[in-house]
Amino acid sequence: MKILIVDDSVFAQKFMEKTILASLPDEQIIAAPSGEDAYELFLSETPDVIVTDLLMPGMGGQMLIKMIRQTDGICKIIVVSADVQKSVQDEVMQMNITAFINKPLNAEKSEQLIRLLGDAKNA
Amino acid sequence: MLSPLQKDALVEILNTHIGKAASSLSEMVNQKVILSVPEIELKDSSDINFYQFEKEGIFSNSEVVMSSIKFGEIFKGDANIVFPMANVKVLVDACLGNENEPGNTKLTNEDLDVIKELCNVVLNALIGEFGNLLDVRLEYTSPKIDFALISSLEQSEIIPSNTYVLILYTSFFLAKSQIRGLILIALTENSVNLLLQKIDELLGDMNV
Repeated sequence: MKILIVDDSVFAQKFMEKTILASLPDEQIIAAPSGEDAYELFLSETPDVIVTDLLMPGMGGQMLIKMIRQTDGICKIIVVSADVQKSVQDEVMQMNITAFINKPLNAEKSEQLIRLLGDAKNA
Repeated sequence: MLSPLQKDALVEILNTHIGKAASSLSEMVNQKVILSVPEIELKDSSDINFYQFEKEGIFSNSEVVMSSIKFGEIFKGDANIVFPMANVKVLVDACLGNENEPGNTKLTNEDLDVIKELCNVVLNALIGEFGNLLDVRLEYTSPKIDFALISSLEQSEIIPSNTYVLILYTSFFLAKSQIRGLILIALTENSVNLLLQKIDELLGDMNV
């Protein structure tokens, strides 16, 4: 399974990559620091799952999801964001995403992410 | 500007928001964090003087790291979090699970990325809860980070004129260290009115 991590923070990217590979060592991880780069990787690499932040310089996660959903309703998208606003969570959940997880990823939320990725693999 | 009752209610609201920010910070540094708000002030931006923070000993070392985000649109402003440079490395090392070397304050690009993400999480927890409280949607800009002498920071670039500034004097208590910080939330007049209206509404509901 190919997983695309989208986050402008290298720290957040590396942390997620390490968390995922600790439980799912055979998965392929690719990463992008912005929505624009992520969209290009989505087109060229066709990932099975995208784990994306929302707030990033340039194209944010919400626009990225919108663009992906114009042509692809199958790719699983998991949002991992620091935004705690209920209105934002409700709006993003309407965009056919798998889950919205609030940053930072503690042990419990990391387990949730791994479980979701496991489900995506077995789907 | 705030009546004693409004100030009391605002402190209570901010304590809840700060509690959520502390919980997020604790998850990042993997240790218990107590984030206190010993004092808050709401001031006209023209009454703010950054040099004062240095003079009053808010920062023992005047070199600081400042991270800021802008938010809007109905509830609009700029949120800034300021840490003394000497303590930033302690937070970064805690996030990365590294042993802190006392006296080492040199920051790498990776350290700056870590502190930016940490400030992003704390400010989002703090400001996002205002969105939930007021039932308005806030749009954010991506956080930026600066480091400078506090007295040399261009105040007008950080605190826009004709705003009111909510000043939160905070202390972050980690297992082995206490880090003093400052959170400055510059709000437009309309935003302050919106917040005070909500506070009055809450006080009214409680028949206070």
